[in-house]
Amino acid sequence: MYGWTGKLLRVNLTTKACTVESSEKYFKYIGGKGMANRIMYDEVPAGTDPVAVENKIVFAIGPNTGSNAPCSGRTDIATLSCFTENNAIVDAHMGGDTAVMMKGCGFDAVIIEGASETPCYIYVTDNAAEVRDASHIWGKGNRETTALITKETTAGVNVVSIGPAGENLVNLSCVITGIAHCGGAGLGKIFGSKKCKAIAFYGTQGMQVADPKKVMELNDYVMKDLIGSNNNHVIPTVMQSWSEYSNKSSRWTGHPGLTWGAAEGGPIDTGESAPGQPTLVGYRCQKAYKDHGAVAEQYTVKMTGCATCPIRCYGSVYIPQMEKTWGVVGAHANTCLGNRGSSIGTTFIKNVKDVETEGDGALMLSIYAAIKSDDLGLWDNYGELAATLGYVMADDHKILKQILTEEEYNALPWDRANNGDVNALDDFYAALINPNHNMYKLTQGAYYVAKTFPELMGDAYLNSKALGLWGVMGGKKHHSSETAAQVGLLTNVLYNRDGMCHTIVNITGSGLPYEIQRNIIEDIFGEGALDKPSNYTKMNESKAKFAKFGVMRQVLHDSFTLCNWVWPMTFSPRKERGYRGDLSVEAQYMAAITGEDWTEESLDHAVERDIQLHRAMTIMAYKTTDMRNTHDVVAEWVYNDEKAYTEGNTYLSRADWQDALTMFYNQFGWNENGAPTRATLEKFDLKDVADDLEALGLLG
Amino acid sequence: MSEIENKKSGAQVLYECLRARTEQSKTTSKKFLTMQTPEGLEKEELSALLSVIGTEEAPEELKDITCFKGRKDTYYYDQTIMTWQYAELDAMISEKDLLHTIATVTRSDCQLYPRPTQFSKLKDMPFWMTEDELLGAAARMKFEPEYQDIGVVTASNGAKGFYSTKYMSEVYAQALIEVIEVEEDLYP
Repeated sequence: MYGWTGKLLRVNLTTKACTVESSEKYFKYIGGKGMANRIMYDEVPAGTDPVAVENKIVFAIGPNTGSNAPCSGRTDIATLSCFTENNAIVDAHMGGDTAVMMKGCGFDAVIIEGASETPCYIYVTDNAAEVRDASHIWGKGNRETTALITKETTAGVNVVSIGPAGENLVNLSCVITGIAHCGGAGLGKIFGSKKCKAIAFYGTQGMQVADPKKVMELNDYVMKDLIGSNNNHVIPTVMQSWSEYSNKSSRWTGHPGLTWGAAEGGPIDTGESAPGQPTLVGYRCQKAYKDHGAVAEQYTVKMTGCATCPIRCYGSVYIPQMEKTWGVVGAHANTCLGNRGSSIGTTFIKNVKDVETEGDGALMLSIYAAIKSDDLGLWDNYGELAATLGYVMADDHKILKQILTEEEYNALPWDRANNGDVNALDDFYAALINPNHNMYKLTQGAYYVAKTFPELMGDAYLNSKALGLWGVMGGKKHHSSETAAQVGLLTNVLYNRDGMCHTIVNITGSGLPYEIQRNIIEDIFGEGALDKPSNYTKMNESKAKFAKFGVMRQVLHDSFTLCNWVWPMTFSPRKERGYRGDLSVEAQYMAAITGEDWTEESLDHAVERDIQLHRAMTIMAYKTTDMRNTHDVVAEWVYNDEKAYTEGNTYLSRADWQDALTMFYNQFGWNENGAPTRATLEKFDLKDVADDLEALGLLG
Repeated sequence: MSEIENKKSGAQVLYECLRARTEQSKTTSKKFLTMQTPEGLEKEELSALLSVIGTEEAPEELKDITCFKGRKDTYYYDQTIMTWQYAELDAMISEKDLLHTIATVTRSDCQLYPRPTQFSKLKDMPFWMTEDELLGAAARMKFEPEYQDIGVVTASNGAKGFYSTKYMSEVYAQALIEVIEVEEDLYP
């Protein structure tokens, strides 16, 4: 068998039974997200309480996982949401080495079901698994957990674990692997509810591809002609002798004079890395510098990242003075918001003094908070937790003082925090994950925070720009209307969490001048598909096609699996190509790996099947076909009917947004309120799903 | 000097000089070549070769070399490894006309991307301008007729950028500086 392993592992935590089954019936869902969602559909009824024993956790990877294609090391993990409205299906998309190790174990999917009465962890090896006691690990942070499980299993094992946040059933909790890579979506709580401390993978089996020569050719093509830097930014931040353009916003930060300053053996210059030189691709993204600023350069040891990724977007820093100053080994690697300790550090701690160099105080605060967050397994939900804390702490903590008891409030170390004592953060973190402390209520996710405090926060909070949800069902803005107008916002409405769709923002953030972006995008999707930044036009059919492409590629990547933080290759860094990328590459990989006759069109069809299924599952969770007026309702900050479509803002009008939804629904063959029809579902071989919806009175 | 090197033509010597400097991300001015004529090349021959670079009469060895006139001099570079955009920028910076450089880059950024030219961009490679230089330039441009289109916008975090009214309104520039200096950092 090529690509897939053909096997799935079922681990029942109630009985401790581990069984192996065929995964072949799920191949038409590609793998990853598609496969995991179908398993959830088949086995977990809509309306199940996410912490009930009946809920399940499904790890799934795809035919591309481990193929050696650039950025093919992603894992999809599906379960029911504990932090957004109606507990609908959600996926976490995790990097690290888990996906490749899981394939090495011989499994396309792992289903974790039931619940243990005592703490346990799952140890998966080649074609087998066992449930082990974790009583001695329960209560420990992710760093120590990883070390302990590694010690009692084998060197090189990949550990996916929860910290105390998950154990304490914090909604905004995650799993962590490799001490750095996060799988969010409230997974920590679901693991915790099953008393499952971790799942560890150690696999030694290779994977088979039908046409290895073609796979290598594609790898070479992608590396030489298509790939840029993180988010496939194809233009460097500063002009280099080979470049025509530069853009300060790009993540292609590497350039002569910028180093990994704390590299073993001395600083390594990131230098010029012109297109066509695969061995230099890994120097393009100096992510510690990008995330923390110039002060981080001298503390940067190297860039790290996920298995099979040449981009390396994880900035690894070591700050020796942290141990002496704050008693923490200052070694950390993460990316993007995770690299900033979710901004929780700066929310609580003020006036931090520099220790050795200008700016190192702020840097160390970020790293300290990041280390603590990752160790506890506290999930920021793309800044939502920090935004909520900022909201309740505004106006001299006006709302927070009404949420906490006077005793709780006064016991927190506000004076130390205001005087830059970073260690005071420990007390705030302890309160946030303590179920007996009222601060804990702020970690439920925005939707439930608003429900808990309807008078104090309620709709005003849910709709505020300060919080920054895309939708009032609790989905955090993780790129929305600021990215290509209606297009960026539309990419969210399919999901029951933050969309995490990077297809569109990778384009607008590519670094290329607008005219070049527009010409390429209009060639694909039609006239008017891409507006100028902060200068929007009303909705049109080209934008609807562009938005559909955005989610189609994301679902493809989460199913195949590939990293949607880099793919698709819409653009290229090569001026000789007119900066045009190649959107056929995924289908070429699929054909080369499986040995089957896949085209871009047939792959799109399979992807859309996954999307139709996901939509049906959301409708079942919401118990209504009126998605337009329930699930798909966006936050009020998006709108300004007077300013919309004038130069210098990103507002949309209410009427235009309704038109946008209509055009988007049409793209997927849904009815006027966003529900799939029988004809649409049957087109994608989902007759059983149509029958189920009809029986529930939920067919569009 | 080896026998092989003795056999190099003047065109080859000039090419190797220009190629080597291009590889170091530098254009080469006519003045530089005249002052530091490559070893093995006579000034008369240098002058003759420079006069045909970029024309059909250029010897085969110099086909990859091109040139352009800056404000103060003529500049040469190997176009197979350096872009015209970079070459123009490098020459402009070497001529040390701060106001002209800022205005040219700003107009280009506002027209092309579109975006204001961040002060942080001009403080970085290859410009290496200081905050004082930038603020001084902004003040001086107000009194120079040829730079009346250049203005400054400031984001809510205090970060500044130049913009050109030839290519964008102040309102638009203000919105864009906020996006690139503040909002992109909040939602990276």
